[in-house]
Amino acid sequence: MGYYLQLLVNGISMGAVYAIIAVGWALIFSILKFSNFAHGGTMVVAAYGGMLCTRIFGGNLWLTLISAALIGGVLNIAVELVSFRRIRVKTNQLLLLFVSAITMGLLLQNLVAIRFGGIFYSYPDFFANTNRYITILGLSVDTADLYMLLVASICILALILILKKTRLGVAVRALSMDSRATSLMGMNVNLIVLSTFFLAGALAGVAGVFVGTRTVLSPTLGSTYTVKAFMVAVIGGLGSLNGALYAALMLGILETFLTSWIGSALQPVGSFVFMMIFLLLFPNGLAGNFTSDKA
Amino acid sequence: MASYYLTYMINNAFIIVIGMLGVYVITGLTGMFSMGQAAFMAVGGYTAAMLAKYLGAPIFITLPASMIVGAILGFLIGIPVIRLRRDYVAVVTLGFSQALVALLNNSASITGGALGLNGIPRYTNKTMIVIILVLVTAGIWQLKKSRFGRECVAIKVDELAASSMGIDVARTKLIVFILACAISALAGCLYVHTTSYLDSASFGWDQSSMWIIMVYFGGVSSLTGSIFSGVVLTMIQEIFRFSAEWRTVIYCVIVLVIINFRPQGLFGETELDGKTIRKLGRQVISLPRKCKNLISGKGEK
Amino acid sequence: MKKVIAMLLAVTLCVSLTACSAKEEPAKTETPAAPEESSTGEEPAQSASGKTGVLKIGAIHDLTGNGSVLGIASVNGSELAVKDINEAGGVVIGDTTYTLELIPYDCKSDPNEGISSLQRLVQVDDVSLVLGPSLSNVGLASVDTTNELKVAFLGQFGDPRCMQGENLDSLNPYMFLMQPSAAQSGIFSISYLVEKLGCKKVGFLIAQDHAYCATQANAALQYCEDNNVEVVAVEYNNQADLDMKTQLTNIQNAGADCLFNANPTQPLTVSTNQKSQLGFDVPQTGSLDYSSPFASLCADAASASNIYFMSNCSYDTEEFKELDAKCQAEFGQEATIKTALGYDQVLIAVAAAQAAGSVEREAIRDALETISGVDTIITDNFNMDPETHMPLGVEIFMMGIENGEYKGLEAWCPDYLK
Repeated sequence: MGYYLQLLVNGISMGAVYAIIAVGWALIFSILKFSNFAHGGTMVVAAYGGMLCTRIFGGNLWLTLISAALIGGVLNIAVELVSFRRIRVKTNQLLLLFVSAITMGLLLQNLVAIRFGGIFYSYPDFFANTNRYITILGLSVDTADLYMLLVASICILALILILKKTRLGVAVRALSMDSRATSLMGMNVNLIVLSTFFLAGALAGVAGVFVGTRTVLSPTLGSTYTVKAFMVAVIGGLGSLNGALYAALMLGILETFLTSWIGSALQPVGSFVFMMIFLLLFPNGLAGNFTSDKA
Repeated sequence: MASYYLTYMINNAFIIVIGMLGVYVITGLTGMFSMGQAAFMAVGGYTAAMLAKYLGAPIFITLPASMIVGAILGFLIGIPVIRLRRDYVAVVTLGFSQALVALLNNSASITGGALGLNGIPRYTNKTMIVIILVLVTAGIWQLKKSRFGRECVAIKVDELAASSMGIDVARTKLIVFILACAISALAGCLYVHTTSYLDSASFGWDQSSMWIIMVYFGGVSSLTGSIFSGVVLTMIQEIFRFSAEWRTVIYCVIVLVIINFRPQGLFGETELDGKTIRKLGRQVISLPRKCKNLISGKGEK
Repeated sequence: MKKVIAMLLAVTLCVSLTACSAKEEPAKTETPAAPEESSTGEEPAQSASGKTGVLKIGAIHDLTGNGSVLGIASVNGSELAVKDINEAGGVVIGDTTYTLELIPYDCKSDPNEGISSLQRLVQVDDVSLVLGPSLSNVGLASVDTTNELKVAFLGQFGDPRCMQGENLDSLNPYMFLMQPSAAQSGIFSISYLVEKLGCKKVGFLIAQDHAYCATQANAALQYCEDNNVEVVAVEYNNQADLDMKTQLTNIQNAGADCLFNANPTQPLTVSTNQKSQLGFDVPQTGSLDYSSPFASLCADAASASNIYFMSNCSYDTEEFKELDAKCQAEFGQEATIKTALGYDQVLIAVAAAQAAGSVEREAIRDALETISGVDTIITDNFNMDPETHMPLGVEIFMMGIENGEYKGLEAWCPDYLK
């Protein structure tokens, strides 16, 4: 019993990483209706940027998180301007946005490799003064994971507040329902899109720091998570933030249990079979109410 | 120098183009979206490699065998896939490619796992690869022009309308998917008999996404455009090999520029067939006259 | 009309691209090639000194993609070596003074790219020999091509099949390894735990999608079987895994009293942190990936403890510190073991050319086969074994990590390998 509870805890902390990446992914999908494969690239650049910032701030977690979020946000605005703006305005062909995103992700990853290749980097120990892990009811929980759960919850709550309570949030939600009507209502669509990209990039930056603290920074770090975030976003029902959140936790827990039962080696096979069955049963994903995909 | 590039073009670019044609058939004909097409290349490659290595099978057995295994797997994956929407097709094929790599790594005793299989006989030569590429291209060309091809394009443009016109959407999509998988598996067979070595790391989702980039770069509606861009993009990487780690950056920038400024792809919907070549020829021939007119026109003013 | 213009544009793009390359390449290759030919051609006639030439060395590494960190470090090392030798006035081979030129190509860890790079290096760039990556897949795929091109391929590839063929019973004439093979490295590591530290129950954690780690672990498993050492658990992981607590718990519950952790740097760091978190405090060993800066990558000093690994290089030597300083000055990055290996590859290549007295590919291959006594960063006395094309009598130094501090332990060679 204790063993399975421990697995559950491990799975949730894994799921929290997926969630924070996938929510940013879903945010962009909700307004532009395409899978932003450059998200992983943004995450990697922000993770390296945050690492450089720790050299200025020392081991202050919060300052690092904020600076990485800013780097991610600003970079994502640049990504939008360079690789999506023109296609979006001129043709709005979703598949082209998709191709552009893949290329941009590849470009970012390789630029990082050129600048930082040659050696592995890691974040300094943010938790030097606390215990590395806490034991609650016989369950061992990584302090870093606890912080991550906390920060992920704060970020996602903040995002929900922004979407529900602010003018920007109303505009984003309007855009996600009907972009033409939104622009006819006199709203500046480009500005809303840029703001959304900023938010998503900030989330990617936070995710980058946490992935970075869990492992070692390498230029290809984003590639794995791009794939996971894509799966999570699809299982969650594309464009649904809640769906992405639940799906991320589900995938995290599922992977941990599969690793325990059939081994890490066969775990992708198990995940694939599960995903296939799930999509056949719920063809619209967890959220299930997203249908306006005509392109 | 020139001979080196020619060899490279045939041994690498042409095989990649054959694999890419699988993506072209899926995306260009029916608008479905496969993010795991390279996995089918791995399927073909491993089938051929194991038959040739363990049973000593010659190429006229490994080639059809790899296509058949590719088609069977395409059928199994295709049944659920055709019922799903575009992004779901992408995610299922992506998941399949990851699961396949895990399976290959896990059955190391026969597939070699991460250590790979080496010493696979080299059966191919340049002529053979060129002939196969021409045959596959001609086949897809005929298919595109046929009634079946027009049905596919109808599905791509509007699935609902196509099915109301009496087109069996599910069946058509399934056939196209199987065909595409067989073509990619064929590329895998050629790859392994050219390289003589095979491991699971070369067929990840990055290879599949490269193929999607190629198809869109050339123009998703143009078969010759896709082939042209497949060759050009592969050769760009080769030509810039001397720039070491910068070459992928150069590649990305070229693709971004084309996608942004010529969104319909290099060729748009035009095919490089006899008609276009004749038209092109006429344009070139009339170019001096036009220039003259232009100059003289300017001169009059 | 528009379409036709677009087509025209496309065709011109294509033509101009090939034209560019065609123009640029000969210019790039022929200028250095000319003096080289004249020097080799006129060698007997003129023995007067003062002749110069360019010794071109190709290098194939993973500069983009998964292995880019290791590949870039190796190329950086090789470039430092070339720079050092050129600044010292080049190298005298026969009666000619040669400056070195390194031509690094990217192979994206793709075997086919590796083969193409080899062909291009020989047929287009006309290099004298090629330095290779630590990726065994590129090495394995290149065997036939090196035989056709008749060029020596001096690599870091850990898989002995690269040199000795499928069943380790033949010898591939053009393939050479310049560091201990993955199999040797696995046996060095496991035997130290078993024979020195007296461990009896071994648990394995293996990155099964990583060729080097898989080879290494297979050799260690074979050692355990041959020496009747009990293997209590064999668990697998993938390189990208972030959570290995499940596997580690299984190994812990199986009662292992030591851990063979066959993983590359990233998952190695993750699993070492999590091992410490689980309170699974048994000695662990693995590959060279434990070498610096591994300890600083771990979450805290307490995690980087109780670790034993084989190193072909001590980090305290003057040579290594000097290399580190140069690397920091040139690239702004610390030197790693890969930088040192890249540096040494060039030194060995140059020594082979000097021993051959020529820059001919065949002559260099023959010299490389029997080269001995090269003073490199890693060892003062590098000898190639002509029987295996692997280094002879590798001096292995066991190192340990306690509380984040590296310490040298002792020179080590188990009877199993003698």
